[in-house]
Amino acid sequence: MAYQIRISPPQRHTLFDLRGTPQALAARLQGIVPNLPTQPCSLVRHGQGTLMWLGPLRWCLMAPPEAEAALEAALMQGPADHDAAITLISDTQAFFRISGRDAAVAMSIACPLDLHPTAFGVDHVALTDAFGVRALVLREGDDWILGLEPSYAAYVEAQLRQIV
Amino acid sequence: MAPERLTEGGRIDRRQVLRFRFDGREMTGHPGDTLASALLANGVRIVTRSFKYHRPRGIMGSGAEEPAALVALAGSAAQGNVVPTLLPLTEGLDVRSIHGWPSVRFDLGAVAGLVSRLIPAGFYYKTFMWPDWHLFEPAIRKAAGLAPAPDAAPEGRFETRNAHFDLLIAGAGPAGLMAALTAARAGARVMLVDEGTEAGGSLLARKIEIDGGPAMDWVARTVAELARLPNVTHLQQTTAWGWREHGLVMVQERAPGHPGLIERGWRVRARHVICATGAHERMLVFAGNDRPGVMLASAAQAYVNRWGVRPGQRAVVFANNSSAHEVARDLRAAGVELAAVIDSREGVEANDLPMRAGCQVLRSFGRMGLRGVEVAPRGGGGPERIACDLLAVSGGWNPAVHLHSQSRGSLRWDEGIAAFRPGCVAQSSASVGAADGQFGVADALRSGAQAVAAHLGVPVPDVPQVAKVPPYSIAPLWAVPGKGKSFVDLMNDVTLDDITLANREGYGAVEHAKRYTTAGMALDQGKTGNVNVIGILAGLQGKAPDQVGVTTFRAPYTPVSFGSIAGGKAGPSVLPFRHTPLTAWHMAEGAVMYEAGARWRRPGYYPRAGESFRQTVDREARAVREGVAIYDGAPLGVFAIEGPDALRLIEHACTARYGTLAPGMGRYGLMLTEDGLIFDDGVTFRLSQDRFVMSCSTGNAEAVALHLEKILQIDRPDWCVHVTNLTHQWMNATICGPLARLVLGRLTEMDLSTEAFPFMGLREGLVAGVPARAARVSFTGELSYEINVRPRDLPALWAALLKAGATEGIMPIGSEANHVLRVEKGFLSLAHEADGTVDPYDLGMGWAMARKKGDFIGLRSVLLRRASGRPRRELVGLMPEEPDTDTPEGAPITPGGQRIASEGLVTACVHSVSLGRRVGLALLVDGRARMGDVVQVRLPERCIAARVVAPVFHDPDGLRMRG
Repeated sequence: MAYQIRISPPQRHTLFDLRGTPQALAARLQGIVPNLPTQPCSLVRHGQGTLMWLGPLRWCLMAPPEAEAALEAALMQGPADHDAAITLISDTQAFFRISGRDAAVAMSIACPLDLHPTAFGVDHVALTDAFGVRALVLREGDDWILGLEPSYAAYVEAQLRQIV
Repeated sequence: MAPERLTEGGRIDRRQVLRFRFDGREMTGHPGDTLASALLANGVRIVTRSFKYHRPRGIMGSGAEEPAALVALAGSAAQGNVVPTLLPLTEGLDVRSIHGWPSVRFDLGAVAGLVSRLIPAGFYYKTFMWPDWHLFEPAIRKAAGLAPAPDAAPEGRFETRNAHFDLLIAGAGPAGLMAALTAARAGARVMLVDEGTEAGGSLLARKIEIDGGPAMDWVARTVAELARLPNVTHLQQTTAWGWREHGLVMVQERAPGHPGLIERGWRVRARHVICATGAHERMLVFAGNDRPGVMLASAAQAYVNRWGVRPGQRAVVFANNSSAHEVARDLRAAGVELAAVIDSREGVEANDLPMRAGCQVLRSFGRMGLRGVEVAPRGGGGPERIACDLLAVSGGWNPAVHLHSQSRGSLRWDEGIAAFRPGCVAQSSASVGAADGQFGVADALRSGAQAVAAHLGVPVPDVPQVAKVPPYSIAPLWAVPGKGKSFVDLMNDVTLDDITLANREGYGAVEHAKRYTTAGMALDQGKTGNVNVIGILAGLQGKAPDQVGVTTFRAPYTPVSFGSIAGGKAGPSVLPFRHTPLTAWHMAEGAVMYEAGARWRRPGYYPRAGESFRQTVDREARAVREGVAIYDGAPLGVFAIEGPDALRLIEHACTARYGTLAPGMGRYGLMLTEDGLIFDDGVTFRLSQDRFVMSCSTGNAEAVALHLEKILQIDRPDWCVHVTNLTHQWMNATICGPLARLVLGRLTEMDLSTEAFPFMGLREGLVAGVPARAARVSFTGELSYEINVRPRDLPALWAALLKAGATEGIMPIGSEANHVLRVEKGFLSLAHEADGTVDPYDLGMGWAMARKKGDFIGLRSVLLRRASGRPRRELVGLMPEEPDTDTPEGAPITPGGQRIASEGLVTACVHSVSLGRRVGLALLVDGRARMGDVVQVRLPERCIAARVVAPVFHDPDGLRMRG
């Protein structure tokens, strides 16, 4: 039986790279995301924003494309804090949404990480590898979000379409 | 029905008929058949010719151990070297024998057998050495070898999945099934793989009862229960063929049952591996033991019991162990006339069998297939001929330790079974059942359950009851001396004489003997012959087999297609290109695209109709020197660095001083490795007191990002600095040339005057209506602006620049023109001048070493090296004496042009549009002290004389780019 997988065309989201201490970032994020994730490789959602904990002193805030200007204005206002840095990086990632009954099959071909629900549940996120390229992998319900350098988007899309 | 097919029995579906062809002959079989069982059912005895001597060979095994009968598939499923015992029969299969010409029955290559005395093991090491081995190699390879690779790729595609499990169980025989059941019931994530078409392992071929019923009923119940459990992935026709480091097991699924999918590879990472891989029956070594009709006893049993095929009409069984007695009874029950059971052990009794204990087969005879054997008591006595067309042989059993051994687990000799068993494990695993030398079914079931229970910490479950059978017993018989070829490795045509010769010539160590004779190499990997080789060597050397040792069992365990390893990564996707937002535009404009480092694809040059390469590059370079041009600088590495310790990080990582920079200004610097060699270069701009933007080369952006992270995470975790990689957030189009200011001024309200926007300045504002950071840096030596914008805005900016400069003749240029322009200026290029061996002083860039600022990465190594005073290769310019002569990049410079050690090399050579002649750069020993000298660039056929000059050919004071 053929795989049932849907792949969205690559899309840009609003993205901010957040570096610094949790306390400093929590202060900068007031009114945007009330709490930081409490577990590494997890995320919290608030409104349209998704805040992901990606590494030591490193988070990423994702939101729909149309929210970029407003979020940038909100995040950049106020005095600079040396313990935190917030940088707009929306153009650094192209995102694919992979859905359908066999979405996990596509992910098992793309990514060497253990993505079984017992190891990588809903709202887990990781900076890892997909098709040999650095990638951000996020589980959203039964769907998967795959973020990669836009320079590799054509290659990754071809690889995904080949599976289907 | 095929002539040798039994009227009943076996696990085939006689209601359906499958048609296939073998060497053009139409044949039939049934679902459940393998190609091997179908060939035997159709009376095919000669399947192929042997590797070296072109001897006729038939089917000897029934599974992965098949040592002789490889075939090739034609048509859309074309493949070479297919093991017919592992290939399920399918409708329309088109099978060809290999290695026989004009046919396997009449093969002219068999002449090799007549001259076999002239071509013993290692003959090619001793002969064909003069005048050159390669002169003879093609003919020898044509005479030997196996099937050629198919001409075309197969129809369909391959896929490779990653998977993680708590337990990977290799083998679905009694031990593997019991292990899987135990693990699955305990809730573990289990992958069970088995190379056969259906689960059961040895139970498929034997008439054994479990829990009071046929063993296969228990198998069916177990498989059904496993299928119901969501935590189990059970795959048949799937082989765990290689165990790598760090728990990575390579698995090949040969029949994935998915439309268009030929095979599926799995890269499995398991926390624990259960090796339930069973055992392989050994051959017995006697004269003519390769004749078609000689077959492993277990295979003969499998063909009658599992496939309902009679492999012969009249059989002799020859064994040194007890397992063959059951085979003899099963053959007789299937209607095969049992002529004799030859057991080399003294005093063995079996009243129901025509037993001849203490005897051995001296040789077989028959021209194109077995017609009889010559038997004699081992203690002496006249030989007797027994007519037969099937000789079922069993030299004992080897646990299939391949997977365990590939994981680097050790082996130990077990005298009781005369075989090597798994010893210590190297990765988390256990061997169970026959793979651990426990050949009884009851023992196998128990060991499978116990191993998993121990690993998971759960109680050992009840194990099904198995009817008692006599325990396994063996007395080794490594070889029967006699006239004629006695094969120890049928795959590679290695004989007893070859092993004896290797031992006599000093290659008696088992690893030497393997290489000298090729025994156990290639597809065989020691399945049927290796232990015989070890036993024979032990006998020749008066040692015990464990003192001889074993060779390495290598992956793959069975032949694996490259496709199942590569999966979807084939063709251009093996090394995919990266594209800038302008790639499509460049290609539409007819640019010749280059790989420009880190897999970025950038335009090399934009040829116009009628132009030669040189004319194109000259045109583009002149546009920069005399007018205005733009180029796609998108992939340049960019990093935001901010925080109170940002300056410390930058000055620690780079050679230059940045503390004196005013906001809005930048400085060029080098990045060194710990050993003081140039790693990268770039410009760092100060945006405000604690905010900087650093650029680096295209090819090194990832490496620089890791380098900076490493400093912050490991070396200086106390520094408060935040680094964000902006390589894909800010991409630039660079406008350059004396008219660049004029054209850019039409698109921005920024003050572009030298006073307001000096060289090495950075300004933020709108360009062509989009937010931009413009930087006045130059790689071409001309007035230049890097316009950095968000990638989404880059196509619009590019179009606006082209439109704005149309009246000035603005044109895009590629990396070839850039290369010319930077060589004219003597600017370094990574991988050309900065080739991983040079420090800043070597390139005349001591000015970039801000030694007064304190320590930085690489400083100490540079100073130590220079303190030695030894001459170094230094950057110089080269002017070929003949102005239009090219000195190729990489060409060595040798003293006097002699063919001796070089004193340097050419790093670049271009046609200079400024000078109208070729100029080059080179690294030359003590180069700066040799200005004006003439050196010789050594080419294979001649030398080119070139004068050493300063490495700058255009605007040496840099007035044009600063203006």
